[in-house]
Amino acid sequence: MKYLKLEIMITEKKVTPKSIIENSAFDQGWYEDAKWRQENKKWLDLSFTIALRILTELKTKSISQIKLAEMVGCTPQYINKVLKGTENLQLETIVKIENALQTSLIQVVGANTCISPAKKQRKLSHLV
Amino acid sequence: MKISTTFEIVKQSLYSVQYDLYEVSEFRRLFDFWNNAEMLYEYFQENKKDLDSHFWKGISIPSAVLKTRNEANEFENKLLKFAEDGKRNKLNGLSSFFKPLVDGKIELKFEKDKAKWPYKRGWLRIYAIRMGVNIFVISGGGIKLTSKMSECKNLLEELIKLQLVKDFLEKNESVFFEIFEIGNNDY
Repeated sequence: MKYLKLEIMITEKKVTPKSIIENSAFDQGWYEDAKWRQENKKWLDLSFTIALRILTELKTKSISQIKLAEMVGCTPQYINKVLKGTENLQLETIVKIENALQTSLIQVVGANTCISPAKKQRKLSHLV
Repeated sequence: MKISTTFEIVKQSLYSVQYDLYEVSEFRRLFDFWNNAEMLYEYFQENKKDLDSHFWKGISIPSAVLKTRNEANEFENKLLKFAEDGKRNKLNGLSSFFKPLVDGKIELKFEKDKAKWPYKRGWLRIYAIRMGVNIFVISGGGIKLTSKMSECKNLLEELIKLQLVKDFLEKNESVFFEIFEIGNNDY
């Protein structure tokens, strides 16, 4: 009869905590948020800049967020959302805030060079 | 403060802890903070003295807020790129992005590390513990407004968090037994 004798050595080895690798939930939501931020970068940049302008105005004029909400006619919670700089603002809201703070928040490129219909008519009649 | 759970940010590469004091992981909390105009404005108001120091030459609060957000966007993109690239090429992974917390202090196991972007004049920091080649667990981060971490009161807590994560990893280190065959003899 043939016997097989095995000689083995057992060593203890510590490895990367497997519990972290195996038990961590994948943050899928973050991936989606990052993608969304990239896709909406242009208006998010604008929203952030507007929020920053409002914050500066509030500080300079010592106006609280609650007071601004009253002036604009919205809830303080909404103003708080706007001030985070990630709100997709309507033009109407922007103008209301501009009026409340008596300042300009956005400008349209070339707005001053637009010719009013009356002015255009005058120019044309001059040519005739 | 206790670690309540861990999240996988980039598969098998980047992880983040979540503390019981917060509702989101540190990775998310940092980028939420760095993208929140109001929170940043308040932060810089509280730390105006540091902005006025010769180091930052009196940068205004609105400029500081914009700088933070711009750097955060770049940081996020870089971090993910390194994490993804590291899966294909080990030399271009997170291990080349994170550096030892103390310059030149290389530890063999669970090294305390930091990452910053941009390298020059960037003030955002992410702190992490190295678990292996291109595998990191984020412990926290912040805005470093002083030349030394120890001088920035807002970052002192980060040192405690780094140690907390290191202890957590050591406690969760799994042990397995390797069996080597030394020889076999027929008889």
